[in-house]
Amino acid sequence: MSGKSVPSATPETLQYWEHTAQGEIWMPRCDDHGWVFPPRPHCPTCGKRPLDWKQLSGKGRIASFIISHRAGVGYQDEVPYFIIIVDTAEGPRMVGNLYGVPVTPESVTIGMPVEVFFEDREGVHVPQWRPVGSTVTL
Amino acid sequence: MKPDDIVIVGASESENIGIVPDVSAMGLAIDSALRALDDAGLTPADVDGIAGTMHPAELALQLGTRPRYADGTNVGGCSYMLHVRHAVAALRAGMASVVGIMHGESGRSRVGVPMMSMDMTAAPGQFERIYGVAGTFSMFTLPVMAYLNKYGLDESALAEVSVAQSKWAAQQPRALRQKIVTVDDVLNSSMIAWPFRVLECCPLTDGGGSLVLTTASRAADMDLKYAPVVVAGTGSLVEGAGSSFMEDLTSFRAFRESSAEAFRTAEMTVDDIDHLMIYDAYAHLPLYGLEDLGFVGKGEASEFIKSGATSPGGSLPMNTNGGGIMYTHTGMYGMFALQEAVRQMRGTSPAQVDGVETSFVQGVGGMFAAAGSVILRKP
Repeated sequence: MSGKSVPSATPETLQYWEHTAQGEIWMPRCDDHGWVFPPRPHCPTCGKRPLDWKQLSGKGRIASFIISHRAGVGYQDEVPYFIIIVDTAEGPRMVGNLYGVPVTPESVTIGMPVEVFFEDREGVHVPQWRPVGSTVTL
Repeated sequence: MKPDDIVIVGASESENIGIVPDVSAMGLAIDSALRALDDAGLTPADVDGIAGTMHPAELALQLGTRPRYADGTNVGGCSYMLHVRHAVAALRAGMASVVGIMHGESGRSRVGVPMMSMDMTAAPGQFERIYGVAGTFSMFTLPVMAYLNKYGLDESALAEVSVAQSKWAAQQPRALRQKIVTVDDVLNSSMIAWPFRVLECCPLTDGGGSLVLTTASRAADMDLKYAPVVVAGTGSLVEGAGSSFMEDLTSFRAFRESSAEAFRTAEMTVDDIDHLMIYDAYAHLPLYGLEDLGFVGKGEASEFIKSGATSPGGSLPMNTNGGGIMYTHTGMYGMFALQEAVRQMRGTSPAQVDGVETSFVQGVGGMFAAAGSVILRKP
């Protein structure tokens, strides 16, 4: 047990976490205004509800990153570690950690392609990222 | 120019700031409030409007007033800029005649402070902070590599911010960090969250600060220690929680729109501004701020700072208290940026700049969640 924080789903985000438990990323999508993330039951542009949920490819590119030298909850054994922002191939921006490369600034370039994998935290499956082709898991 | 209708007649920090283990957060707020009221010969009973991020009812009880106007807006460290903005409207509408805006935090010593808890159901709790975010230093900072990469800048672009501000802090006896530093000093200081070193991150401190606002006509009847400072214009925008949910990782929409509204309401442009405060919990914020407020072009802020333009003797003195990074940062720094701007307008800053008539104060709150802007000027 790593002791890492476990996200606490609300009724409005429950589908997101149900899909990650299946190894997939799904988000609400408005036919007119696109993806809605963080998940909300309505379109923040036009107010339409309910929205259909659609699956994302799980591919993306690194949009920004830092290397944390101070441990967050449950990360004591991982310092230093990457925290990254990913621009998914479909557009929504997600935060995660990057695994499968040495933890140095030189290991990462902005725009580097990554793919999702999932970390099991007490039964909640949290999206994580690794370089395309890497087989690293947690 | 707008009429001088709303003015600041009281402004003070708590007696001590920095490391103050013998006063609670509330005690720091009340100490600063009594000092600010003293600037205008007022007592708590004169205050019929209060604002702060602490619970308004508790603030009212502790100060000793029964206000008819109360503002508990809390959008993070720029809340005090929003409190000023709201107080201006309240005073104009006759909802209050004397508004006290109070801040007290025991960020370092944690005296009289409830246990912090993270809301794991809110959007940042579910989708950002679960990834080993140990503090604001590993989330507020997260967009910066997108910015540096876009403009072909390296780590020294951030270090220049701390270098320039250390030259101001060296003139400020109350600054926690008073040593002038070089780019090498900054880059060699301990790593917090690459590319941010400790000298590019605010320290956590204790402190209080308060402002007293009233109408110009009421101020004319007061026995003032200092000439009143005019609130010339204000703006604000709430963008929504979460630094990864910013519209653009390289520019902050709330900075752009909040500042534009402040300029519009003050009937001023960047050319009218003599002195600038940009909330700097971390060294990237003055870079975003200088560009988003329109003082320099996109990607030019660090070179502008490196040129000495914002340092002592420069054309645009910025963060003349040393900024949150050097002066003090209790957690919600906005009040201290406002305090230094008032001091510059009164002519009482230890790092006083000669001839400044106007000051622009730009706040940010909630890690790129909200922004508030206040333009001050001499009467």
